[in-house]
Amino acid sequence: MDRIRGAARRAGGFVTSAELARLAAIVSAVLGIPEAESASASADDVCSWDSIAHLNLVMAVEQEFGVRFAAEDITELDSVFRIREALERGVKQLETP
Amino acid sequence: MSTRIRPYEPSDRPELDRLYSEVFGRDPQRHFVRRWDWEFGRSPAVERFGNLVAFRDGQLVAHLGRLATRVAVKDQILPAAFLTDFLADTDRSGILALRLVNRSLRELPLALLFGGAPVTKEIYERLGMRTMPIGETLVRVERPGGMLAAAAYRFLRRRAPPLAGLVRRWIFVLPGAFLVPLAAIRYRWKKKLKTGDYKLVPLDGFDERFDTLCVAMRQHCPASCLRDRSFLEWRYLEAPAGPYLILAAVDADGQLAAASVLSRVAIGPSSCGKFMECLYRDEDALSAIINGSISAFKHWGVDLVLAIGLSRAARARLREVGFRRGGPQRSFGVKANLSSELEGILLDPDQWYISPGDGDEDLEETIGA
Repeated sequence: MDRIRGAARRAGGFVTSAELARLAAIVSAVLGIPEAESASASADDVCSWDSIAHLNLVMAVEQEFGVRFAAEDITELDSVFRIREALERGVKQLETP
Repeated sequence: MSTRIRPYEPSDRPELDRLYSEVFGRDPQRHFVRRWDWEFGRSPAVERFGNLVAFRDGQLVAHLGRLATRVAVKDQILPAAFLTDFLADTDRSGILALRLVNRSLRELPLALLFGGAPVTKEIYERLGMRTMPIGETLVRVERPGGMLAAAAYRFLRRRAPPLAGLVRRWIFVLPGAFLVPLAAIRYRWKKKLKTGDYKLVPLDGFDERFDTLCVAMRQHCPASCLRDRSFLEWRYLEAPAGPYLILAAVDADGQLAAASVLSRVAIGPSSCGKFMECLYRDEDALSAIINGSISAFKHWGVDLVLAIGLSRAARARLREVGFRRGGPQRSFGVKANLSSELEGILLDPDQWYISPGDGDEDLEETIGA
């Protein structure tokens, strides 16, 4: 699902509990759902998770975690579980300008 | 909950009409259905890709049109498609609309985008499309009073639609008269481009000389949607939106040195002329067809003239005769799954010729349609 471009990987390769909390906060803020429900949220279940919200969510996650998802894989990140998986597998570090 | 994406089938028509009505809040018959078969079924193509539809629990919730076209790059003709008519039920489509775009960008050899809402551009860019600054809009005001009326009409149509119908030209006659001296200088009304001798004639159609002109045009612009006779006939003679004026600059040997296709559309009580095409054998002929086209617009009595895109040389000539940048720049995007050499040409804005005749950027009805 996620592509690793270049050699850079996230240190450790796993999302910590603190990072999970940050992810939950982003999901909650972008989709307007309680943080407690964010872990199990998916595009199929959350009404506010439409195409625009999805892009906003992806960009917010990228900014927060300093990563860049490959364009062709973005539509596969259709649940918080899958976003977490992608972060755990390690994605390319966001190139700083 | 079930979701499905598949190619559009004729039996989807009622569901698609319903979606169109919901998205645009108007009758699809007039704006959509009339052009459907013409646009997606009859455009000259190397290959057709079919539109895509997405279903959620059996209901059609998103659609993406893929208007087949032929892109000329250097000496090759490539199959391509403009992504158009992107419709989605925002309450029910989830991320299916995004998936339609993503699938198209991956499976089409060459996907193109022209115009569309800013949010559409954002989606396409994030999914890998490259947008280029070649959809520049140039404008020349011919009658300031009419231009003011058009501006007022457009403003009210956005902010207070019921009031837009009350805009009358006579309200702006006096302020327009005060602006005439300024407009004459700013838009260089008296300026004409120097050219050789050509006979300027209106034509009833596109003959075989347009195929020759198309070949010559490809020397100036290595990347373009092919402007041969079959394209021009489909786009300007068979289009439900016509009629258009075909103007030719013919040399002493009877050869076609340049040609333009012009349209005239209403903006409330005002009228706007538009360069739909501006094709030329050489830059001298380009100047001649620009002079001739401006004369034709004056004869029509349009209030302003627009040129969108065209070639870099044409834009430079138009600036010489007073055209100035105005209005929003149209997005023109490319996503190529081709060799790096061809991609290099396609991603260079200076190589392109585009016009309002591309994609479905300009299918509005002309005056007299």
